[in-house]
Amino acid sequence: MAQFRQYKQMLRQAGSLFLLLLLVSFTTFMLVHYAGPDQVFERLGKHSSHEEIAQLQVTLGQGDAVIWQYLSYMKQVIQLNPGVSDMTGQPVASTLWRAFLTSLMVVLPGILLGQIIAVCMATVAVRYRGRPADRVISAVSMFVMSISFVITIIFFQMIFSSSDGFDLLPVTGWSTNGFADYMKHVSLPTMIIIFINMGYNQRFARSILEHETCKPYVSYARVYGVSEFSLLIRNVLPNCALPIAIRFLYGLPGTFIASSLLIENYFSIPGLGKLVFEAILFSDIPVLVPVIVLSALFFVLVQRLLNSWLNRLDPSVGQASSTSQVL
Amino acid sequence: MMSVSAKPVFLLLTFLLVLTLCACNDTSQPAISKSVLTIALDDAPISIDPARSSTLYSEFIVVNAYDTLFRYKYLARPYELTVNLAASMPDISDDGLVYTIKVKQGVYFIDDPAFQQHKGRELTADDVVYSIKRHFDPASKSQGAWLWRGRISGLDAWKMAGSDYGEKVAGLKAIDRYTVRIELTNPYPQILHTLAMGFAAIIPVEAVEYYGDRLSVHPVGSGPYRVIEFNSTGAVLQRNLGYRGERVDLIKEGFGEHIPKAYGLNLIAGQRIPILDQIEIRFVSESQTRWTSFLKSNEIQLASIPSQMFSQVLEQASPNLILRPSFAASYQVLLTPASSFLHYDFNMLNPEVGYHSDPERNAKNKTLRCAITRAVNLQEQNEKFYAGLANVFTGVILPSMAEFAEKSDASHDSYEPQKSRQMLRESGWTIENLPVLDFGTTSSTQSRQTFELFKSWLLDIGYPEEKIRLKMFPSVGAFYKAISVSKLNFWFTGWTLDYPDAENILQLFYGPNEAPGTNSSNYHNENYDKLFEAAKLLLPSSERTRLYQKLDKLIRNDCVTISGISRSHLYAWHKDVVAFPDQDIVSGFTLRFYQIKPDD
Amino acid sequence: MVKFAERSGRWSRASKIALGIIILYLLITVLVYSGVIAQQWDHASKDTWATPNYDHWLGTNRIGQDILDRALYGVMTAMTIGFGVAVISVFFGSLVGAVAAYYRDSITDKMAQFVMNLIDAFPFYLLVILLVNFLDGISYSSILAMVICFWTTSARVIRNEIIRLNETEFIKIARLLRLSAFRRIVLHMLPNLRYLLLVQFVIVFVVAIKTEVVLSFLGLGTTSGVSWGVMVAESVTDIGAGHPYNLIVATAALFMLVLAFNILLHKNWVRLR
Repeated sequence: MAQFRQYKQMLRQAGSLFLLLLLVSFTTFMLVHYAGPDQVFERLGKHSSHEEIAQLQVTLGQGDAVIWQYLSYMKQVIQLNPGVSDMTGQPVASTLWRAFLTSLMVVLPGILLGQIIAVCMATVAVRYRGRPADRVISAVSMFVMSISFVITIIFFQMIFSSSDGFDLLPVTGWSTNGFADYMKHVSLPTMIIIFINMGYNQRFARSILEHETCKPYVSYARVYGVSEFSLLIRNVLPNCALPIAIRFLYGLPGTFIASSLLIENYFSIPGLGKLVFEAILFSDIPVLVPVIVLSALFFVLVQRLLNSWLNRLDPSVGQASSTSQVL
Repeated sequence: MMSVSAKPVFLLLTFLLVLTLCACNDTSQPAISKSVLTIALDDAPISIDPARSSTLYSEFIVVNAYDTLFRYKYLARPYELTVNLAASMPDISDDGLVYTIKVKQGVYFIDDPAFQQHKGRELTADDVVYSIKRHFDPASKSQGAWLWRGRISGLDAWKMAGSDYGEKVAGLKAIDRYTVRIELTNPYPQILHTLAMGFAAIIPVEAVEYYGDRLSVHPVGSGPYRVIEFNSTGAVLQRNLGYRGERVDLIKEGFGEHIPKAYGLNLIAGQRIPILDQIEIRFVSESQTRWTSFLKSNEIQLASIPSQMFSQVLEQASPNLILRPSFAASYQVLLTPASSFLHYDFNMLNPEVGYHSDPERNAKNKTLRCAITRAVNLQEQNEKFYAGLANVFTGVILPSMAEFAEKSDASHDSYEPQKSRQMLRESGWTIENLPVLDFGTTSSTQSRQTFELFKSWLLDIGYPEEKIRLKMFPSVGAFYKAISVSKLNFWFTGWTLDYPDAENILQLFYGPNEAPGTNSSNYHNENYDKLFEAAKLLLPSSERTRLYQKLDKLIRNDCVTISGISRSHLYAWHKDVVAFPDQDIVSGFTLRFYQIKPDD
Repeated sequence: MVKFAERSGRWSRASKIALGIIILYLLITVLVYSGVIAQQWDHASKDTWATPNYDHWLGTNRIGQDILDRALYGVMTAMTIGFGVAVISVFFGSLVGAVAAYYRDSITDKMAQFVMNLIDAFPFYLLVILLVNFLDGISYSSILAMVICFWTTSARVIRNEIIRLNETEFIKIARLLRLSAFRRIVLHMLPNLRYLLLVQFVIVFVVAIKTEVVLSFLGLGTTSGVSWGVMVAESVTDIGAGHPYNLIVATAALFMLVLAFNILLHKNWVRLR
């Protein structure tokens, strides 16, 4: 009986997830369809005629009602064929995968390093709580949190890449011919991302660490004369790893898209952010829908993970439901 | 307890890290050491399928990957056509209706999986016929059919009959393996220009069948270069090893006194075409980024200079160009008029500003348009946005064209705000009854600034602020659509010439071309249409010049458009590059002549 | 305890300054709105890219517009967007949150949660850009787009907090006294929620004006008036030509406001704990 209930619960969860993703795809489809520019006019040359417009409308299947266009698109997707990009005519799957890998290479080092640096800063801040080091770190975080992403990009490019500045790193383009070349190209995006996320990450990590140090075991350890730093690194930090990691994953799709959107458009790097922004301007539905649905899926899965973790911490929640929530 | 539940999180993290590392290995390639040039284009082409090469940037790449029958001479000014794939200039019948064109023998397409045994086959006259027919096949979604629509006999009928490639077209056929015969319905003096455009690039039927939609990124041609990489940020062109072994003949390319010695172009004489092994093209629309990249020694070596930088580069622009010494030490520059112009248009079908059924209001609207024309200070726009280096002119014929005439009656549409205010007052326009102007433009910082400048001119003549509104469109397509469905009554736009003939501008005001065609201001004037129909059949002659100037005058009289500014391009390149990068009309044909000076 | 007192004492000086900045910005907003200052923000003078001088205290931009006036006008734009988005989304979010909490586990609650999940599942920037594009032509389209994205956080926070408060002793007593749900929520719960609401308000405010900068930079910002984002976008060409004033002024104006709010947020965060 219990098992039956468990399956039912799982089915319900899967169903709601599926419904959510379906609605995400539908909303995206509708927003792009009604918002973006008319495909027909994007494709026309400057010398066009009524006849050509009518013909293109037929070719693009615009004669049908929107809902049929959506259904025929979904039918195609269910047959595991995401189609070709309206803008370039390239197959969507391979285009997206390549762009995703590029973005990963551009953005992930910054996101990961940024998290690590922020945790280190928070550890130092907690160790010297209330002392100048803590205050400086706190002021730096505040400063960084008050600066716009766009402005950071402009300044960093001026400082590190222009001939007026240090003239160290490439200004534009993306190439990965070997490790050195990759390092050269990835440095600037990495620095920018570390800088922009530092404040928020540091503050979150600091509050978690501070909370943890109030726990009794820390006091006992102190009484036994364990040094403060080794206590923080050996005991407190591992215990805080989970909430920090979960917050990190929770924010990952957002940070990923935001960073790649702005950085890639400014540095002209052929990643996901540039692709997606161009797709929005061109109303390229076959590109946009998968990107948004997949990031929604990732987000929802992380959310479920978070819930299940919270449930485990809270004994009042049934064990059965918590296992089923990890889909 | 906690460490157990944390496992999935760390697993995911590890997975992401591994992915990054995989991606790292995936794209790494060995570095290549050959003669490689890196240049920048101001924007990215969306498609490099010849049928969709409507932008300068698409055409720039298309004409390198594919062959065209004719091309422009590298150095001759005014622009002159010469043979490319054609064996000789065509035989033209006396009535100007039949063109017989010989194609060079022994030209092969590049090796590609599209062909049998992956081996490129010989290009024949049939390929030329196929490539033009393809524009009349709805499946190819061509943007270039207008070049030959209603011009070649039987071609439109062929399309009506269903675009069956098996069917012959009377006016477009291969009479033997290497000869094409084109028969026109009416004289079309510009046809040779059209055959030098990217749209007329020769594409093999096998590639179209094999690649389908992927043609937009995967060209298969017989041009001097093959495209080995192409995406939204750049392209890499590599020498087509099988390209016919022609050599540079400087005299035939129009080398002469007008080319500065310092450019060192005599170095390329007698070299095999294409000269360079590899050319990397980067599409950098952010002008600041392009500039910063250009100034570095190891990035972009040739680019157009953004206009906000002109003052940093030039000591003096006129009467003759003097560079700042620090810049002149390492770079060469070329200042050349662009084959395009910027103008403000009224929508003549909008009764608020254009034609009106009531003759009195009609006349009043015309006064309004003419008054606004006088309020517009194009010289100020030139100084603020183009460092004063653009050409401000009246009428629509560009100053760089033979038909351009200095206007003796320039007061007619030049900047005169007092006169403008007076005209409004006298014709009964008041703050209450002036129409709302929806200033349409594509979305960009400069468009917004142009609008704010325009607004300040109109405020100057007493136009109420709330009646001047900005309508920005996120993409060119959305902007075209708004114009085509007459949603706007006023807009700021530019026109880039398809070929160097004023006919290409004058057709912008030809009645039957009304929106969604090129006559987006929907100008209708019987007299104009008649004169235009007569002029378009003529070869360059004094008679044609007279007609062109008459047409120009009609447009100015009716105050249809506020024209115009013709910008200048300032190209700059590193001194070790040998180039003459006038890229507007000669377009991508320039690339095959670029050279990097050998180290001494 | 001593430590806490010390800290709040230290922050209170900073927060006084922060409050001062916000009041100054509010004052500027009122003055710009009532037409006292910054009326020349769109006037294109002949002086292009002027360095700071007597006529133009902070110089001019490419087409000769006064940078000071534009920055002041930008204050109004930012405050309008910030307040507009923050007030509407916190109010609407709280309303939905309260209703969902009151009808907990009913179909209304489930629906509300589903809609929130749906909106939150979208990557934020993409949704805002799509919505701005979609709402193109409607005035205040960017405010509306941001409200659609932001209200869910407030709704969630308020819903959870009301559910938690419902279990507390004093609300149980209120229920026993048969106070109506409305009175329970408005009179007894809202006062307890005020710091939470304030924190929400400030967070949304800050994110809204930062988002505006990004939207303007991508060319999707306001079409009437001027904003700091527009100034930053303009400055990309300016700095190359060696004229950094546009960027410096816009950055400073934005930085001061966001910093002021961050300081206040920190203070309230401490108090909330």
